[in-house]
Amino acid sequence: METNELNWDAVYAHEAPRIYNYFRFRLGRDSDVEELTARTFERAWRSRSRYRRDLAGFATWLFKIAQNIGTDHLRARREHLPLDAALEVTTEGTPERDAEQRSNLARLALLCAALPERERELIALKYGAVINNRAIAELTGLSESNVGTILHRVVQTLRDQW
Amino acid sequence: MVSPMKNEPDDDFLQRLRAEPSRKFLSTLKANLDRQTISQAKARRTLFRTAILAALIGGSTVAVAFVVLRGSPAARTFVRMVDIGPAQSAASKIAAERSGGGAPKSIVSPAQGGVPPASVVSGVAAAPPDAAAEQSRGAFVVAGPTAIILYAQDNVRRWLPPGSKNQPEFNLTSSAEALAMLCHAHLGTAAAAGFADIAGASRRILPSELETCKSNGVTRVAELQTGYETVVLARSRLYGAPKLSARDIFLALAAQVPDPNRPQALIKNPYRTWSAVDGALLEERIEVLGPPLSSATAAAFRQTLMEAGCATFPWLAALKQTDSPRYEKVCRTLRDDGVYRDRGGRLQEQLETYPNALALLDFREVAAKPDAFVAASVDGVEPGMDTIVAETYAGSRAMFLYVNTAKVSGAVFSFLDGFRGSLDEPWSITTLVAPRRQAGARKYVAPLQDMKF
Repeated sequence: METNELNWDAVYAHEAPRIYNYFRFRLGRDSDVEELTARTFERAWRSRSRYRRDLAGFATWLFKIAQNIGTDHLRARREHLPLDAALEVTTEGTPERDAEQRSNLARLALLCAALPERERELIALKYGAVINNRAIAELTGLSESNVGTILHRVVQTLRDQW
Repeated sequence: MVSPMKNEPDDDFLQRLRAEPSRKFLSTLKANLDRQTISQAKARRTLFRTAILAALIGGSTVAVAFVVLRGSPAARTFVRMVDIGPAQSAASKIAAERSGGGAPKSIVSPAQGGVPPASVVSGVAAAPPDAAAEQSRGAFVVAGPTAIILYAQDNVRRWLPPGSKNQPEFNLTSSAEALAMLCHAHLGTAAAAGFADIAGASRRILPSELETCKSNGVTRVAELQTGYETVVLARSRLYGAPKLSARDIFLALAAQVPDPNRPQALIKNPYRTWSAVDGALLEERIEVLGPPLSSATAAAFRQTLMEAGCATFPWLAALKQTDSPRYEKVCRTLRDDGVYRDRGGRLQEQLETYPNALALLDFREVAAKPDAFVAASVDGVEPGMDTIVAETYAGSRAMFLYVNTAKVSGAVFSFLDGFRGSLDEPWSITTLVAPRRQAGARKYVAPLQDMKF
């Protein structure tokens, strides 16, 4: 009763690009994004017979899986941060000059690096996954108005530095 | 109210960053998912066929065995040799003590299906007739905390017919009260007013309590470590294992917590998210689904994980010595504002649907469903048989039985041996976990007279 009501092909077509972009924004680069997207769907597909649509929206469920996969991935990378930082962040020029030489996505990653974890997550959910504030509130435990307030401030900050 | 969206600054630069995944990637992933779906369906069909086959073979085996056993007089009695040593049962130890000790002894054990033992003899013994066994049983009194009593009642139901006049008496008490009843001491509480032949405890008997026993004429006491009571906070395996500290757990679930702004003052628990409890944790709502507060699991939770977290605040830990009632109230009282709530039915589905939710569970519930649940590590220690036996996992505590060996009867022997034997079954219904007879596990039985504290 719980799963057959969903058209899984349609769900995949709708959610796959959102998950993909969520990881792009979360990681600030294109590498690893396909792998993490695939991992999210494989995990969700393995368990989809147990998903109950009367208890939560599918997107909420799917993005929670994505959030956990992203968190695990970033945590694992953090152990190698000195090397990664040397390769990806530290170059010859100033941060501003470095940013100019990178893609816009990398520029976003550079600016987001100065933000708290929570704010980076909100940006990825809002602009990568294109999720509304109510669903973001459900995913993050924040109130809907709090989500709106934080996003407003963060976007303004990013806009100023862009 | 103005929607936050309407006031948002120009965010085109963010909108433009989105990109479409390549068609090749999407189609490859979709094909993989479809293959996965087909494989799962095949696996389910194979499992179903295997189950049918196993049922047919198993049924035939049972039928044949039943016929053979019915036709064999010897099959009506079961004899089990018990070695003196680390895995020696309480009953055999007591038997050894009663008969002068020294030589290995055996005990007649219950037949599968519940025939009780009745006598203890030297060497190999056969079970006496049922009538004699019935005569040798006598009522006895068991006192102790919830986990012990629940298990004791279940154990007795295995071999004593319902309504038998020889039913033991069970008294639900604290560990201290149970030991006081065993030692014929009076703590001044109604619960500890009587005497007990067997006392259960969630800690070892104290030297002072043993002295009280001796001075009150209870000079022969045996200790049986029955296993471990272990609780975990678990999440759906979909969302991975949380990593918490005992302090996080206390701050998330206690009714009152230390005021961050006033030393040694308490406030009503204000924390709603894990990140508020500890900035290193995710910004996830604190939601814990658990059994009723009166349950053995909830009691164990309060006395293990909650207390361990509470004790990380030195001034609260000091209350244990200076103001024990306040210590218990602060460290063991769960918040009642809805953050902790009754788990109800369909727990697995609830956890899968609510990603932030944790469930308070008996360790064995999680171990029995490794595909569904994953337990939180606490202070970097994952709950598992190794960490439970090593007593490094904060959510576990050893459980003990203490027996006045001067008053044993056949019924007590049956009770103790059944108690230990049934604990070896991996997933029986109560909260105790027994270590398998693995190397390094503490001895099950030791006479207290020889015990060093």
